[in-house]
Amino acid sequence: MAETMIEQNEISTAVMESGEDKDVSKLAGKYLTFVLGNEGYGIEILKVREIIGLMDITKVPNMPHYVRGVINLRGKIHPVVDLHSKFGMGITEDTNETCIIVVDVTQNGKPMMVGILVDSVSEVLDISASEIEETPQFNISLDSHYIMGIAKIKDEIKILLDIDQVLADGMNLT
Amino acid sequence: MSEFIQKIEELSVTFVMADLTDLQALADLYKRFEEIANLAKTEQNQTLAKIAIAASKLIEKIILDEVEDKNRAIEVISQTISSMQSIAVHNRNINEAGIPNELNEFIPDGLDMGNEITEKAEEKEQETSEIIKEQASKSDDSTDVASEQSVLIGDESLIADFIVEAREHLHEADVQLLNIESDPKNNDALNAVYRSFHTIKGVAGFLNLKDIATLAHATEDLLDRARKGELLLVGTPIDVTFNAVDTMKQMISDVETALSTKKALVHNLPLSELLSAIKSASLGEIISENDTSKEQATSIPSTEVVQESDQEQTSEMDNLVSSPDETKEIETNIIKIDQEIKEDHGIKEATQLSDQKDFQERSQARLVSSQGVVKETIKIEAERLDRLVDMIGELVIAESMVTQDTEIMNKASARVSRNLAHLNKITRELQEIGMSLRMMPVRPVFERMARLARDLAKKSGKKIEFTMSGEDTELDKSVVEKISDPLTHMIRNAIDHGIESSPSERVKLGKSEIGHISLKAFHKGGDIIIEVSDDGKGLDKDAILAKAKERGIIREDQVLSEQEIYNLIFMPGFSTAKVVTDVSGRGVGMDVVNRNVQALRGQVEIHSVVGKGATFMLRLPLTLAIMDGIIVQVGSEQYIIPTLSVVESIRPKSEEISTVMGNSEMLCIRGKLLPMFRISNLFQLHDAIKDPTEALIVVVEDEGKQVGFMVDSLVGHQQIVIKSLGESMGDLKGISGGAIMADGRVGLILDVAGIVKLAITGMNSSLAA
Repeated sequence: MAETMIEQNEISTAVMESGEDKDVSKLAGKYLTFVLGNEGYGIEILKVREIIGLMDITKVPNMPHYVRGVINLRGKIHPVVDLHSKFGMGITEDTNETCIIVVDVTQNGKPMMVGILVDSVSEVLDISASEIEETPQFNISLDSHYIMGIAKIKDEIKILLDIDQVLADGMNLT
Repeated sequence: MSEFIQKIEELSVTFVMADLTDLQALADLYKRFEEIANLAKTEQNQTLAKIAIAASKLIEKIILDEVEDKNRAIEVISQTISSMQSIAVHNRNINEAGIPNELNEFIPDGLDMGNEITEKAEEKEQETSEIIKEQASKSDDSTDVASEQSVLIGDESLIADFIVEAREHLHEADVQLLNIESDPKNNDALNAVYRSFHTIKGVAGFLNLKDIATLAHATEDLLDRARKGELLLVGTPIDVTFNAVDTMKQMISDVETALSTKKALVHNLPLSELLSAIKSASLGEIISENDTSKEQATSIPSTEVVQESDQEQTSEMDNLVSSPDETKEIETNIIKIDQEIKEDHGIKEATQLSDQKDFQERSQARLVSSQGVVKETIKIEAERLDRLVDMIGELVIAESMVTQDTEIMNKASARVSRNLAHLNKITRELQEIGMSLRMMPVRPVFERMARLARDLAKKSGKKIEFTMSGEDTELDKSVVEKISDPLTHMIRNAIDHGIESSPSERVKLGKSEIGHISLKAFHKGGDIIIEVSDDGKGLDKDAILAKAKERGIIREDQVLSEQEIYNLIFMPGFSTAKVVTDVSGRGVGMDVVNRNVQALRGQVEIHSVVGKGATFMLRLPLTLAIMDGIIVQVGSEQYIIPTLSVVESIRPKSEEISTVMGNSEMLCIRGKLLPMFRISNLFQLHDAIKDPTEALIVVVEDEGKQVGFMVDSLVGHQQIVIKSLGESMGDLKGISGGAIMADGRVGLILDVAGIVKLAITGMNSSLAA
């Protein structure tokens, strides 16, 4: 899987606004699904710029534990966030399938690219509105505002992440 | 005619595609109608010209929000376009095609064909000037609400374009005004300044920037009189014009601020005073009109036509005649001018301007090509350029990764090596081009300095001759932008304090009455040197020393080298001391100079001979993007330390290291005590060497203070391309940026000042992050 290179060349930035509003029917669409530990996750395909195999990540001192460091992607430096650590699932053991998904996010009104480290990338799924359910109420310790909704596809559960929210919390490190 | 039809077709397509609630789209339509009107005029098709002009007026009204029923208005335009199509394409006459009634109100004299187009144009121009006047009168009682509207009414991107454009025009005006000052009858320069103001007026009027339009209009009037020879631009008039340029610059900055902060546009400027000053200046001295018109006439071959015309047209002719390759067009233009002269000789400025405008545009373009020296340029977004440079950098890395791959090098046949060598050559060349893309000449900054020197000399009442050389020396764009501040301070110092306060004082010292200040730029080694020198008093070493001792900056018995003494004037606060200023005459703002230059990774050197003058040399790197760095290893990580700040590196003996209160460490080298910090502690790296005697201490210097950093080893020395770590990483303590290393990885550049701060404030604060 690491060698799969999906390039989304024509990502229009106009389609960046994401589901602030919780109407699940608006969540229907194409999602890139990936695996973290035993769980399946999905992010909107329009947010994904490309998927790259694991590469050398330069550690940056004095960063939160979930920021793995920075990478050079065609001459530009981008931070890489380890979702495992971010979600408190322990540190990822890097395998052959470990991938960096480079996503376009908006932070403080500025578009930027961030890499997220995931265990493996699964596939692109077309998820219809009927398959999506609202985020159920979990206990308070769980940050449910990261989650836009939950999709049930056949017997599998895919957690649809609001990647802007996930990264917004973590990256403002001044 | 085919071009004409094509234009109309394009227009109709644009109209269909356009989102007519969008101002940009409306402005585009407006432009297209104007184009068609102009084209129609040259094609002698009055009907279409009138329709097009009427339609453009209607659009203008929509843009200015003066139309009640917008939908109806848009429908009118739609009908107009289709009738224009049927007139142009199918050669129908106007009655067959029919135009909407609503449009008629914009065609005051109806559509009977007797009238000349020029009249039409006149009316149009009059109307616009009325609008401008109206706006001007409105602006007098402008409230916050009104000014806010003035920003919001225009499209943002249009205003942004205008800001850039206006700045260029104002810069050009500045340069040309300096020419006029030395030669008041320089008509080319006058025309250039006039053109600048005219364009600004036009666009500002369109964008509803009333104050700017008013000021530009007033200045234009003044310049017009000068162009006509009714006024000589010397003394007050030129000072007023300079003042107008400066005020306009400020206004443009205000617009920019308003645009970026989305706040109301407020000009805190004494506009009305300036306007009355311009008015009174333009009513000033009147010189013989005949004199200049004769002068004009002799310089132009086709005198018959020209003598009758007034100067505006003369200069226009001048431009036209100077282009041999477009004779045909010129002929038609001459005929046109001829007509104009016969018909509307008496008609005032406004009329001529409307035709003038497109003539000027053409003649401007032609001027450029006929001179032959003006290079063709393309404006590119800086961001795109940066991306290109980034990609070239990546290509260079990828190329070296391929060519230096052991697998390839071992197996390569002669053919493969040859091809690789070729690839290498192309890559290097591309890299060079990439680097040169961001380079720009220092000329604009130098020209600004010339202006500054003129103003300061005038203010101080000293006689000063300002010379510059090497204006074409190229520097990285960001460096050019940043040297303006330090240069301003240096020039100000040279004039205020360097040059003797009165000409008689200079004569007494055996110097010429006029003080000389020169500004030079040249290459030296791998650096660019920018030099400001004057032949004034020079720096008084003793006075500086005395002041430094008095203020306790140096000890009484301290012996300093000449350069060290001069460097004292860079001390913050040192400069503000009045006594020094009076005695030695130097120092104001020198700490600013030093700080700015250091931020550019440059140095300032001072050479001075008492009584003979002083020279300030700025030594600047060619580019900000590339830096010399020393790569150090700490545990499994590598960091880059800027070579400029590294003093030495040593392996300490155990007796040279002492601890203070159990945790802080000191290093004693050759009798000097330095604080020592372990990078591994600061950055929480656990796999680094713990024993200092097995590690290396890199001694670095920041703002005169030396500290030691403990690292594992030195890896090498390399030129690196500096990159920002991006917004998301925020302001990292101890890291000033990243760099792409030879292997494509990211290396982190240590920020020496930041690390010292980090070490001193303790690790607690860093851990909190």
